[in-house]
Amino acid sequence: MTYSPENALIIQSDRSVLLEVHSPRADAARAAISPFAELVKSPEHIHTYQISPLSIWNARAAGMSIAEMIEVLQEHSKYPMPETISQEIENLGNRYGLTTIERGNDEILLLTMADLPLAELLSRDREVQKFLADRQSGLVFTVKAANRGVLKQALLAAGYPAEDLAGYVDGEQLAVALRSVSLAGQPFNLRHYQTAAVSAFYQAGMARGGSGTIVLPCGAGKTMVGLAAIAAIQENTLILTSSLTSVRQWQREILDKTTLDAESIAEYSGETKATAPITLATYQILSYRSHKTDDFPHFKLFDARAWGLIIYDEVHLLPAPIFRITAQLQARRRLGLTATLIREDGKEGDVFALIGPKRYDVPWRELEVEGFIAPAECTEIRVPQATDYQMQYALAARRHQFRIAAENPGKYAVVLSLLKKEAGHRVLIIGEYLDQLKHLAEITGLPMVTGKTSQSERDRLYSGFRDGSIVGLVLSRVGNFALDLPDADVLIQVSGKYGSRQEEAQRLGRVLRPKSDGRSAQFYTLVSLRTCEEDFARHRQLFLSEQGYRYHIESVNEE
Amino acid sequence: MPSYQPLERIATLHTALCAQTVDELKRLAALLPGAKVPTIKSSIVEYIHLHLQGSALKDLWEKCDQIQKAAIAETVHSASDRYQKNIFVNKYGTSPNWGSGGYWSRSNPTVLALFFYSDVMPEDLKQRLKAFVPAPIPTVLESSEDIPTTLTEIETVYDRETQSKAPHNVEYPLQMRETEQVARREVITILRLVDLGKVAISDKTSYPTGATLNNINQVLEEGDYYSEWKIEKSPQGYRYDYPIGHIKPFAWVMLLQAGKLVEMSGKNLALTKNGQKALNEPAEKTLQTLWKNWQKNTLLDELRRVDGIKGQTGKGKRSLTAVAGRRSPIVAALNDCPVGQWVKYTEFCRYIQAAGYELVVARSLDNLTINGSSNEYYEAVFSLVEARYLSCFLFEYAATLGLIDISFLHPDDGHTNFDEEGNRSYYDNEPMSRYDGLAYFRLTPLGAYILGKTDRYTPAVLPQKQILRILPNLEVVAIEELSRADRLNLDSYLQTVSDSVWKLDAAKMLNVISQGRNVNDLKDFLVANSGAALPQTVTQFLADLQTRTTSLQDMGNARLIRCADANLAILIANDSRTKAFCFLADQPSAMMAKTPCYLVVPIATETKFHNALKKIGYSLP
Repeated sequence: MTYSPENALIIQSDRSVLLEVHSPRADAARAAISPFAELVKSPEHIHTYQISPLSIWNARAAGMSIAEMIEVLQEHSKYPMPETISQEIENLGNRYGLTTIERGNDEILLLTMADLPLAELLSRDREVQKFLADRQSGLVFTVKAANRGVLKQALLAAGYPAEDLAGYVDGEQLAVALRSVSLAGQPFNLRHYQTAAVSAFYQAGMARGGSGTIVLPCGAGKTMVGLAAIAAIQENTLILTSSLTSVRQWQREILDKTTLDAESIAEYSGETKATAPITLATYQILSYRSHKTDDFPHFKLFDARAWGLIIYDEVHLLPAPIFRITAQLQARRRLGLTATLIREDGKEGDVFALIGPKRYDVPWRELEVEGFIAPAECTEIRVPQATDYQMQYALAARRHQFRIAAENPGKYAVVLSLLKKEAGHRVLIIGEYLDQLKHLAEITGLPMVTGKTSQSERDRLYSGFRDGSIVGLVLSRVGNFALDLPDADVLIQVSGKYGSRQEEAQRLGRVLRPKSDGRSAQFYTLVSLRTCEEDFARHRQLFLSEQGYRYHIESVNEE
Repeated sequence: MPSYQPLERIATLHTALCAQTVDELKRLAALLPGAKVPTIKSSIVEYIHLHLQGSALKDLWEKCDQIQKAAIAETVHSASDRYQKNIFVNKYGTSPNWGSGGYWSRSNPTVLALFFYSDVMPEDLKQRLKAFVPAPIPTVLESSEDIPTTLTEIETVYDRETQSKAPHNVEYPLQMRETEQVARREVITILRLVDLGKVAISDKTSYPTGATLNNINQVLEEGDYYSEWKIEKSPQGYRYDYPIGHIKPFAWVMLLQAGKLVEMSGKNLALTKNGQKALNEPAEKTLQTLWKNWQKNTLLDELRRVDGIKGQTGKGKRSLTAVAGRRSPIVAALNDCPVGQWVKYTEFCRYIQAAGYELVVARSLDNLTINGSSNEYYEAVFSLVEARYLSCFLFEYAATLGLIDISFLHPDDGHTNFDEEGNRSYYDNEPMSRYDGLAYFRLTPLGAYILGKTDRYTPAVLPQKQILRILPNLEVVAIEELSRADRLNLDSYLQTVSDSVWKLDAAKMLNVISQGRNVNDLKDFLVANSGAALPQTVTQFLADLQTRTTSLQDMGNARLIRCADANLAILIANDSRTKAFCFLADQPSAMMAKTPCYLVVPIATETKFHNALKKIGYSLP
């Protein structure tokens, strides 16, 4: 193969694949590689995909052959493909399916190895070995059903991912359908990418489908994907979310857009502990225990009903105890929903192994272009510090410098001028430090919501914001997630959590819901000039620029 | 000194004829038209003299063939009366036909012998010939627009089947380096490296130390000339094994020293005032200064870099000519080179001799050892010494300064440059220096400016290419095949992520800047190679970096003086006699005990400070 400049892919020896989006063959190349390559980042001009063992095994699980993968790469590659790539795809791809998990009798699963040497190798693997019960024959081992998740984790770690054909237990039936006109009288249809996401997850009910994660940007309607999954499976469903506000949002959407009535939906929270065919709970209540040596009393919820589906909303926030219990729930269908798989704790692998592989994602920018999420303009404003404050920053211990920079009083004037500039818009001001937020609430006259604000007060304020009686809110970290304020179109971030890219993405997500008049959202980040905040800010913007958002950087003139 | 002084001038033909023997005169007279040759010497002299005048002279001249006429014309229109064999042969590729029967006493001379006596043309004869002999053709330097990627040479190879030697084409691999833009940036980089105190030299030889050579090599934009030579074997299958060592890093250190832009400061070199100035001057000016000073320098005899010629510092030194005088003929010959045209190195060697530029490096080979042998070579022929000197001068200094682009072979294949017979075997032609591989060079527009061929230099605008994509997430992606130079440049500034991806990384950039490189150079490179404006995130990243790297300035060494109390420090810092030589320092927290005050005295004003201090009644122990 020779140099083909018209092709869109540059295949690198580290198994990453660069896609030139301006190439005439970019769309075809994207469609061809997406089954076996994961989109890692998609800034302007060039998108990066990664071919990983997992992505290859996912593609093999979906029925794609090794030859097809290699052919696709060769067909779309600009330069001759590095030889090692085809060898690696072949080596890794051939490993898939060498072990299979099938249902035996009762609570027993059968693990079958492809050949005797592999059976000997894996039966001697320290991590795999401990989940194997009896050896039924040279190639077949029995495994307790409860160990299905951890065994899969161990086999994956050993490099021989199991093809899980054991299927799922049937949950209690639930007759549910999506409405074509919402209860509020609005026409309702799934968008094309929501339909595609549900199909990729459900896979027409096959054993290969039914577990996995859908990655969609904030405002793109992840909840709708969840509702569509419930409607596809038609079984009792447990929905786990990150906050009570989110629980209420799910409730509103289910009632508005499905044929279910209020009695079919229950809330399992600190306030009420009811269950119903659709039960909503928070991670906090499930992972609550009075002492760290106690059991988790609310885990009983997982066995309270015959759940046919468990939905993990904001799956990147999943706490460790829920991971552990999820390992025992492999016979249930599991759907993870998130805007970003980035976990600041680096546990992306656990999400893959225990909830399921990423089944679908789409670059934010594409949805913006198609009008499904609001276009956003991101602006970083560099705010100088007053001389005495500069000195305070310079003399502070390094661990305190970030906070001093973040709380730069110079930011107050900038916030006021932005409010003036954005008058008539619906503004959210988000920050990390309560003192700063309190001061902002005072000088702007906007109400403030923090972790200490009662749920009823929060509901009142959010409702006021939605109906327009409140034009802006000052939010602490509670505003980062699962906050459905569709009309918010200006967000001013006055301080953040060091360099958290996840937080940056989530906060932008607050203003991405498409606006009724098509106006674009404004995302301002205030950063103290010549401080460590600049470095952290750079780290935070990384995620968004990799999603294709353009950052403007402005400076406030020093006096 | 030659053992005899050759005859340079003969006033008249008559004198010349009288100096011949009768036998010689008879042989000359026999060449003239006429029935009978006199027998008495004085009559023969008259007889020949008569035939070398008026129309008879013209008739004789017309009897000469073209090459003989050329030999006459070269002397007639030359300042010298001598027939210059070396010049003539290099210009015309052959000697004229003098006849046969021995060089000194030709028994069968040709008509040409009537014009020259002991290779000298008598002055009156020269004057008479001037009336009708046209000027000789000018000496032509052959050049070409392009050069091939290999150097084709014909070698004779023994064929076992036919048991005979047969000519055979051999393709020697070539590598090319364009130097103009690189030199302009590198000179600043190396000056900065000196400024950072990272260039050390030996105080005995003034040569850079090994560590310095490695340091410089790391910051060179395209590496040293041979750093990317990957071919392991010659076309004949012999493994390349000549230890090439450093060329460019060595050259830069020597050039800066000769240019007086640097000077010794402790163990390292430091910038002189001119060196500091050069940092902010157009690079072409600095390069021109370095070139001019290099021509005069006696710091280094380039021949010392030719490893194959030993004995240069011992008795052999007596055989060598003065260093400073050798460079002017080369510079003059370089001036004759067309700008932007490739000249084969062997052609340039031919030209420099043919055009009469007197490049003499060794008068003899006395006490010199050539490639381990002190008696194999008898004569200091051009290809043995001068050509080696020339290749070093061009390769190491002219190319490094950006005067010439170069194309070169591996030194092990360099025998093609010096093998005059064209039939010596590989082993007979061991390389004598790392510069033996110089095959072609091309005078650059910068070279033309530095040589004074043009009085203005406009740096070429970097051609806009679209080979890179600069992404807002600070990544740089190669979307086309990159040249080695582009790849090296990216590698040196940016963090390599994968085969085609690099990332702007603050830590790496600060490191690069601390090695003397410049943020603006990178910016220009990225813009030129992406064909688009940089994303604002990238611009801001580079601007932040620029701010951070220019916010601090090294003002040189100083002394910290501790005063007994704050009042005394303030007194000294404000006294009209001392205040010009010191200033108050902030108190370092480590020295806060008893809160004394500190004065800073720059080393440059230390003596004046001491003297002034005494005047106000204090002294430092």
